[in-house]
Amino acid sequence: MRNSNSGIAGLYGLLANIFATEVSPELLAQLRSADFRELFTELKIDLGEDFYSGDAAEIVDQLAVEFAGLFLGPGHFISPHESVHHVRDDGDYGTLWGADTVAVKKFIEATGLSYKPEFGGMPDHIAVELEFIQKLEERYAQAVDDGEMELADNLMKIKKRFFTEHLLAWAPEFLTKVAERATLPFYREMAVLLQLLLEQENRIITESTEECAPV
Amino acid sequence: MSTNRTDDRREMLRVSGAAVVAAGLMSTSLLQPKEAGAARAKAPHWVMIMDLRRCMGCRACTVACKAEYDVPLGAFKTVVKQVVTGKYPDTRRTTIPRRCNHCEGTEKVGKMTVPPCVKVCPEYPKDRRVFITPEGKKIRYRGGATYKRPDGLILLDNDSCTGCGKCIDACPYGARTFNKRKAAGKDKSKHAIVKCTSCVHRLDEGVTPACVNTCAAGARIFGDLNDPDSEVARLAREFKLLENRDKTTMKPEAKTMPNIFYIDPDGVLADYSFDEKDKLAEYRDIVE
Ligand code: SF4
Ligand code: SF4
Repeated sequence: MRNSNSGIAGLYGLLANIFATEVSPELLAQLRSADFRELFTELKIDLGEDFYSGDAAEIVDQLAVEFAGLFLGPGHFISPHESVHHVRDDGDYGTLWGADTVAVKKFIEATGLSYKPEFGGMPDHIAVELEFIQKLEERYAQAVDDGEMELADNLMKIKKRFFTEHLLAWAPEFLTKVAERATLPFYREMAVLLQLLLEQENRIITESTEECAPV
Repeated sequence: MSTNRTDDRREMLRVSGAAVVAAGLMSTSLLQPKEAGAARAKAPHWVMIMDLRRCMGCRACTVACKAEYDVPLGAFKTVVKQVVTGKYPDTRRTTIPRRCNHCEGTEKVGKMTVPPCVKVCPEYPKDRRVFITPEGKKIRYRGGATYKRPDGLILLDNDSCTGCGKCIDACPYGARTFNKRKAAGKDKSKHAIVKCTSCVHRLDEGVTPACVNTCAAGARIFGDLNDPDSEVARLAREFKLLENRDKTTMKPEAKTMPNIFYIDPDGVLADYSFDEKDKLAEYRDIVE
């Protein structure tokens, strides 16, 4: 998998944005643009006619209420943190600030990134994990463009490890819950989109690992 | 490329991701490159800054601390006190979070400068220990029932504690008390000591203390003063916290050199009256 695909970084970025915080009026305008509408149609993401034709300020409000109910609580609250969902053999899961919170923070910091001081959330928030992969993919694309193949290979190894040890180990289950409990099409469809992305990425990663397996 | 309908949608993701980028979407930004900085061989210098402009007295910190440590009934490791200033009708109530100051101290035991609680402990200094800095440098120091780690934390080791209670008397702030539900390690007829450890078990795993993590107002800011890029170092410079210790720390006259600083633009700290008769009441959280 040596094709440079900065496109995938954009998709991770978009989803990080959507799970990080409420949809802003600016983001809504972008999501309602012809480009995105076409993209969502191609992907069979159905946000409903209201999403495109309703009053923008009202939709921003509705989405903010839904976001708060789903990810901040109270409401149909589903904690968007890995340590709550990632079932571990040692039994240390199901709570905030668990073993995986620390593992994710250490993993990310070991790559030379750090959390912005103004980020007040917990280190294993879904948006952090998505943004981390976005950053790895961006750097990977740049390394491929610059012909730095060793660096590119390393970055892919890091991504694969993080993807399988963390994101894939909990996000699908979390997203199923989001899709079930969302009351508006938007978060339901975004959860489905992310699930689809994870499935596809997993398939590619598994195939490439099989290819590389020593004979 | 194979094209059946379901795969179609899947393959689309990779291809159409490009469209997302093309749309010039502003992406979220929670992560940033770590400042390279010169490798610091020094131990961290942990400090906490209480921003009195932000504390709203909700006591989430007190509760988080109780939950983190299962602090026994009647004992607190962190509390929120208050001070009322002004004259009727122009009065104001300010809430003041407190915990052990992890004082720098001014007295020497061997090469270590220690606060009064450590100085007075008959079980200090005892065993030899090694502190390893984030850069891997080893710093030797001494343990004890109450001791100071090279990163400035004042910690307890109940196994060597005789429960004599001298440290409780020595602390000018009332930050220590007996844990009525736990026996001292060396004398089971006496009680163990309870006080704030700055969540050392969390710090050693790279995460902030429970009270800091839970403070919704962001009134508790924690970090390494030796790192010039840290939030605490920035605030210390901005509010001249180190230069004005007599205005930015609790009870400066006790000369303990606290490592808890207060951002107190209205100078209310000066109006805080200590309960001199029963200093242990200082660490009882009674909502008045
Ligand atoms: S506040 Fe009291 S217990 Fe804490 S370090 Fe200072 S003297 Fe010791
Ligand atoms: S009670 Fe324990 S910690 Fe305090 S002075 Fe005595 S031996 Fe030291």
